[in-house]
Amino acid sequence: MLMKTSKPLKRIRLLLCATLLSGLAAHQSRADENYFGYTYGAETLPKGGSEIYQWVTVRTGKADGSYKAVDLQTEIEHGFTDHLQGSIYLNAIQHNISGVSDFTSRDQFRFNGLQGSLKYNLRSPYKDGYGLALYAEPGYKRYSGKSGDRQDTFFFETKVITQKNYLEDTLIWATNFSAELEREHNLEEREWETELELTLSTGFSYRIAPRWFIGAEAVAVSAFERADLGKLGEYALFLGPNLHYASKRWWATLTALPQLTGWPENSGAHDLEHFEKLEIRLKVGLNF
Amino acid sequence: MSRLSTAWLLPPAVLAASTSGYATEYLTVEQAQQALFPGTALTAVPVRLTAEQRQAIAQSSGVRVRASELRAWRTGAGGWFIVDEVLGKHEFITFALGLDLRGAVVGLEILSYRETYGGEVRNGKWRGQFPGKTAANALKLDGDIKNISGATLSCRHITDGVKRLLTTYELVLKTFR
Repeated sequence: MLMKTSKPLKRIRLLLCATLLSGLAAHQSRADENYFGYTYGAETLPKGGSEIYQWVTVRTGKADGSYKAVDLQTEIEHGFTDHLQGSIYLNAIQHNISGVSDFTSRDQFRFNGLQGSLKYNLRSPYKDGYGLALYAEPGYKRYSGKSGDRQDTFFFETKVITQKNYLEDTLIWATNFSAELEREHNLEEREWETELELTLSTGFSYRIAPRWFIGAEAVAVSAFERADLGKLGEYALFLGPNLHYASKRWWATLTALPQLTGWPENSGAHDLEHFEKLEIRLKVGLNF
Repeated sequence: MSRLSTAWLLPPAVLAASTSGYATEYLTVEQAQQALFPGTALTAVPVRLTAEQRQAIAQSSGVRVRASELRAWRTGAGGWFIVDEVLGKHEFITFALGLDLRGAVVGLEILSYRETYGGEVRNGKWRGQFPGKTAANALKLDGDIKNISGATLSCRHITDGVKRLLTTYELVLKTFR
């Protein structure tokens, strides 16, 4: 049975769109940009700088049926000092699922919680030889990102971010190691589950012309049941290209990550139960 | 694609449609000449660096030499006025450097700056660190040149650009005829 988008959620959606569009209309200057869709750089906003981002991540492809999920994040970021920045995210999620084994068919759009983050820059890639930053992000989700089932998830993610620049800062290489502890409450089965997700991501981006960068990015994700490193639940490796454009007022980054391999396999060498065949992420940011 | 996800592609489309040129020109070459050498007549001097000279400058300064043509002018007293570019985060930063007859910096002017952040390099206090510097100075950020937090990339690249031009004077212009 297909589920309809509720009127309050339509209003939230319109509000988020209106907020972003009003920011664009104000012709503000460009935000401190992300060169990658998934991997973070070590820089932080200057003190007093603020920015708004919109993330759109489309995930498609299961072993059978038709599956599409769209993750939407609206982020507001502020530099408290030249080395410390904080963010607040509002999330929404859309699922269009039909005929996928073990998934309930649905067509729904839902507000999906919020999170906050702090990022502290320890080393600058421009004057210290390398960039280093620490990142922490607690948050709450109302729906399963995979199935769209109603479930409460509390999570806490930490990252170590490194960045090394080459060729007069025209070639950027960034690597993140992330650990995320999730506590999930399945409202139908009335049980709590704990999961630890470890992610290693790395990417390079090269300035091919003023304002334009192209590169590639790889993301490896492993999830451990009950946060026990001896109980690997699933993993997947993604690799794909990215494109980044920056203007003075705004920037955009587009990354496409097909799954190279995954475990446990249920479709060739891929795990299409816990992950998807392809993720495409578009980030747009502007500062104010 | 459903109507919903199409709607969320609207903001990027609006952004793309809103692009326009954003170059900010602060000084013309003539204005920079008058700021660094007021009331002085300057003569354009075409300088073309050979591959060997470029390599020698890069080795000595530790900074890549991008261009073989130097936009240079000379004063009657033997000073030099040079217009050059360094990489900003996304665009080039155009600056002018004045040198006296001994190859010491007379002054530094920013002609155009096109980046969102880091415009503080135009401040007189930061630029005021350069007069008197020669190729003998280290010209190192957070060493003899103070950094501006939030403008690190611009400070670093301009400082490197000045170091490259001072080395160019020492190796090429000092004996230029």
